[in-house]
Amino acid sequence: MGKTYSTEELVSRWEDQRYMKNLMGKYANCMILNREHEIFDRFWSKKTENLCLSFNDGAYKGAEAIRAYYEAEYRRNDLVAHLLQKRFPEKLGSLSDEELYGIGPFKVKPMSCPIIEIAEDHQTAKGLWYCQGAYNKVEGCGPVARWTWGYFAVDFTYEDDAWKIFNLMYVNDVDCICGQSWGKEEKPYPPLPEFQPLEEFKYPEYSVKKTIRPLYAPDRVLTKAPEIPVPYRTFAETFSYGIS
Amino acid sequence: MANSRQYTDEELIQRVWDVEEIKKLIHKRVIYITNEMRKEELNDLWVQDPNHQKTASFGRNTGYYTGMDAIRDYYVVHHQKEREEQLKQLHAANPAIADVPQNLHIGCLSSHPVSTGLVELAGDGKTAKGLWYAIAQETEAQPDGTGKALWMPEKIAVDFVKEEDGWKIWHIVVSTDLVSEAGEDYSEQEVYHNYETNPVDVEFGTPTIAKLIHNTDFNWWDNYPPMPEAYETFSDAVSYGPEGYVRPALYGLDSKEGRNFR
Amino acid sequence: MKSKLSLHERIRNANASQEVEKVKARHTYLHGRADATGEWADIWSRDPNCSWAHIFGRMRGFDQVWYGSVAQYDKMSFENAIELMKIYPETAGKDPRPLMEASVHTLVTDIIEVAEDGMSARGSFITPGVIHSTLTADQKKYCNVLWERYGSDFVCEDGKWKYLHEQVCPDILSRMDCLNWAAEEYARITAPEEKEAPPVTLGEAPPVTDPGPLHLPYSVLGKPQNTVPWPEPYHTLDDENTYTSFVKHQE
Repeated sequence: MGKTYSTEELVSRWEDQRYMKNLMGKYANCMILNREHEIFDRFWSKKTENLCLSFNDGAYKGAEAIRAYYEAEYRRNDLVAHLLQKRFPEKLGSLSDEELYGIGPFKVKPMSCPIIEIAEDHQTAKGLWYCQGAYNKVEGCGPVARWTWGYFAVDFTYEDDAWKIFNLMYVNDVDCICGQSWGKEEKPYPPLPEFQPLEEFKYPEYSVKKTIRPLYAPDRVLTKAPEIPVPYRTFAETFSYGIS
Repeated sequence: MANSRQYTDEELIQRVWDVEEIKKLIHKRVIYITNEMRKEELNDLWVQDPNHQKTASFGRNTGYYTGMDAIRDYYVVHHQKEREEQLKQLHAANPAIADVPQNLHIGCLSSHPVSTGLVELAGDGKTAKGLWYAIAQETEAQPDGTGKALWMPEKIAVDFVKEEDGWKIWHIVVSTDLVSEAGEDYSEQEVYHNYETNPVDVEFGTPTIAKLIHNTDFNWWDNYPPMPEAYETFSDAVSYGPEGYVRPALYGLDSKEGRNFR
Repeated sequence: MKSKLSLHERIRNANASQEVEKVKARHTYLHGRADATGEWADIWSRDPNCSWAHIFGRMRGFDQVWYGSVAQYDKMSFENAIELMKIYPETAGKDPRPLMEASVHTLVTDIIEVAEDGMSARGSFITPGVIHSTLTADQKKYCNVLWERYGSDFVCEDGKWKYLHEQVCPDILSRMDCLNWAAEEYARITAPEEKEAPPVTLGEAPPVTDPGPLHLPYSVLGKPQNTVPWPEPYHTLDDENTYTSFVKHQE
């Protein structure tokens, strides 16, 4: 740890850390509540160019692409709910579109083990979280729960008296069907005709399509976690969680 | 003795930061484990002061390794040898997996993400104690081309000491509650804990002080490792090292005893 | 970030935030040993406004919470211990409570706010939990996963932080090893004769003041519920900022 901080600076920096932990907790809650379409406006930077949202197999670059991804999650959630309505007319048939939205998917992405470093110049910060997740997105084979073991790695920028995300990497080591071993070949559930439209659903194309992190396989070589944030002065002097 | 001191604002925010630094340290350990950086973990995160190194300890349910040399021998050297042997076996079964250093740890994945942090900083600010829980998993490649994926939820209890360059791990107890293979019916396992076959016990080997310090057959009855309580200054009595272990006063019988009355 | 609090008040609140994390964690480890007495005797406020809520409803007031969460919970563990002793005599004489199971509700994703007045704090948490037991009456060990969300209010009494309100929101209950909580529910609701959903609590529901259901676990045919919305920055604990509305006592 290089710089020595005054008492007031120490308090501010503690409050900053708490704010970022709260922010990522709210991000996770938005996912649980199928409110992905609110995430961009709530949590992402509006003043930084070259925003980046990345996953195991690609990255969205720029505000427009990232917003389009979250909107696609909304459309997919909506599609799942309508397919369930069609399948269960007695239970869901009378619901309006608004009442129906949110039924079906359940995505719990708990954040643990935060390692946060705030730049000495207080303009940016970096955080790494472990995420032991569980979700059921509803797929072409219907509702199937999956475990995920992975990481959220985030770059934050300080703007308008608040911390905002400008790079977010959510990558997994494991994404496997609950009740099966992630070390063995997956035994998929058979497709169900009532959910076939989900097979045709397409997310927007990645801005950068490449393998950012391969999922675990028995022949995967040691694949290190996203880099641990270290104390730094300015963002130019540290690494980025963005993908180029 | 509980910590009942009054602190100035400057002292209090320093204590708040100390707790944050301690949490960060244990969170880094999570990543070091995933990255198979055991050697670096001992160098970066554990005590460096020679006096602390002498009394450092690494405990599991079946005892403690004491002193950094013994810890290093178990945690780094033995582990490395096991992984080298594992790679040889993988190579023998599948020559496409070359027996070269860059393939060491191939097909291995260890995640011990901690949660539920409970950190008590000593009143004198020189040491701290923490307890965490991890719904951990470890996966290892097998010669048949699959990975053996094991759930292993565990408590992790740690004593920390502040050295010149910051907080360091001094004593640790990783107390595994159970081991269950993913996708296999856990209820089909034999009821009593089997110390001969349990992979955690087998891997731990024969520690410096070999004794049962937590019996999982009785769930958390023996309360080891216990929650840290507020304290003024460090002593053997509060240690997560072997000197702090206290067997429940009225233990009664052990597993499988007292069954021949019929 | 700008704050209208004095430096002293900000330091007090930073410390308070850590203190409530500790209270919450103590709950987890005490509950893991089924030590309800340790929990409610030590880390809970005895304020008449204290409350504990689950699917089945909300217990209000310390005495009702104690009866439901301690007396009734202990009864379950004692009954279990009596059955265990018949099969595993070595359990005799041991504290019967932890022998029931280790119910470990881990704490992650904490969102914590301390009141500007420094007298209370609020937190929401996701709790990916495991519930396991080795020696059981049916001679099979088990490990379940129970994932929940918590909404918790805390108060500072004589310089010590205590629980005031807890609302528990179970979402997923399944076996850790070999079941699939979504596929199995879908199989259940599409079976020719739909069966009832399995219970997510042990034993009988205790007496409550506010009857449930106060939260519904995740269902393929339901919306994920926002029963314990995350806390926002606030000035003081009141009906606008609480996980349990306050009862107005008649003079």
